Amino acid sequence: MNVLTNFIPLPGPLRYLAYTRAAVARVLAYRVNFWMGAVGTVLGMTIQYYLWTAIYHGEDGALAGYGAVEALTYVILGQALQGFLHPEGDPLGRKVRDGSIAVDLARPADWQWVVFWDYLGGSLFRWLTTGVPAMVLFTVVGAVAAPPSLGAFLVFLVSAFLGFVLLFAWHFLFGLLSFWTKGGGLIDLKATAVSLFSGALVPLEFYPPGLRRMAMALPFRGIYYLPLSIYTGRLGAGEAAGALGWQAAWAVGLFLMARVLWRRATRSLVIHGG
Amino acid sequence: MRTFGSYVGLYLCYLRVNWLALMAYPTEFWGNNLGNVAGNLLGIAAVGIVFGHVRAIGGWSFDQVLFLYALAMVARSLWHLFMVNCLNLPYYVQRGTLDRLMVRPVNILFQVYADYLDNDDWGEAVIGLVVLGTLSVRLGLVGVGPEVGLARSLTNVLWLAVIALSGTAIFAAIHLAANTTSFWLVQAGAVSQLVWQVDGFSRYPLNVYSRPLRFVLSWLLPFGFINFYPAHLFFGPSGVPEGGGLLWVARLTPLVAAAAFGLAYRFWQAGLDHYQGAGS
Repeated sequence: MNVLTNFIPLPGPLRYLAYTRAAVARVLAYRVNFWMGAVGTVLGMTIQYYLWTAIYHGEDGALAGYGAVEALTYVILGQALQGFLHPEGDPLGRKVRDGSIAVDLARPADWQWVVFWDYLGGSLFRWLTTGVPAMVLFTVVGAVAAPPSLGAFLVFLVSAFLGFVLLFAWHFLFGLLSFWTKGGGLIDLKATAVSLFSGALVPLEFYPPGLRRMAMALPFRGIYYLPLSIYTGRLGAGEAAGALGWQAAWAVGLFLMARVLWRRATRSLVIHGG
Repeated sequence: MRTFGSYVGLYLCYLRVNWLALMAYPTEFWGNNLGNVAGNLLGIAAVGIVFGHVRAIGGWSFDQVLFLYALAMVARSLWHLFMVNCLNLPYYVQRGTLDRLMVRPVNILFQVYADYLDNDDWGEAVIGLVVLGTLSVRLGLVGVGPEVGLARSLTNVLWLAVIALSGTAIFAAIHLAANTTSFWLVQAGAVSQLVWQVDGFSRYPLNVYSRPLRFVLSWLLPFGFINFYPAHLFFGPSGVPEGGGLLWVARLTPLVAAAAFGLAYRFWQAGLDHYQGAGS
């Protein structure tokens, strides 16, 4: 097969929309799961609401440059995004271990794109049905602030999507490790790196200087910190444009890196068959 | 009926088999536990980052919040290390593998618990104990000098052990009840995941939440008895935001734990009665 069409598969990937549809159908098929997930997301947002209200209780001014409403908006939306960006286990590692990866490789479809579009379908559906209504509710009751402008909101959507691609590429890269380690493991480590350096739990401005500098240098802040800062209006138009470029560069870079490694990995794969 | 001693012997056999299976993939064991250590340090770091900017949350100091956090860690890890397999109950029901356990002359729940240990929560156990120990000394609950006194130290250590075990029983009860729903619901894994989410409430003092939430977390899903109420046993009326009024509730902790597990066990038995096997 032509190397070029393998590396630059546009517009071919759009064919994979069937996988996106299938992912949505799968979410709908497990309805109890879906509802529990929705309730879980709202509960998580509620925890953050009370926790951060208590943190700001008795504080007159701002903490780390954040007023109470801005901080609440940041952490509550962050929680809502986590329901949407949450990785679904470790499909790659599991498939390598039980050998079912062989079936996927035998199919005439590019597996990286298959996983990407599938993952996007489930995430987007859950975000639209849970994250968005929950955010509207929290905004209506006045717990969080609306974005400063429609433009900021639209830029946020683009930024959140790029964050999604970044997170996907990171999971895929990490999953590829299992081709060599043959073990699951390290899943917690992978998630911890994201939680700590992405600013998913606490805005990066709250971090002590050393840790903050580290988080600023790493690509993870593109997953939560940048989209959330655009939503709260912390980043102005110029800064937001720069943020999008930075996210896009990292997203494409990590995605291509995963692609190269994926091709190497599948060449060296040995499955214990039976 | 089997004696207690025979159960201990049986459990040791199960432990041995589990350990051998686990050590077939030693890298996975170390990898999982390393990740576990990192995840738990992150949880503590997040508390620390916030306390870099405020002196108290809900009237609790940094040391006190960490003490509550560590208390929950110890209880959660004890449950996780020895009773985590009840999370797999939905699979036993769906695949009908529960039938295999039902024909053996041993308590079924015991078999479920002993059937598989994932052994990947040692990090939480160790970190929880170290943090709890350090803070007990720093908060003046335990010490060798005259300022704390031997009698008070011993009482506190004893209470800490009782509270940790009660917390383990409460975790066990809540997760058992959640997963027992799999006898009626096909997708019970979702219920169990929701319970994990609610567990997030137990990481911070209960008095930061609203009244209705607080009621739910005290009397329906008694996460509050894992750390929030018991903390009143240690800090004295002037050391807690709501004074000594909750001391009597704190003393109820072992009873609440026993009642919770008893109720969950009855529910589990009702589930077993309802179970009809998966067929083949």
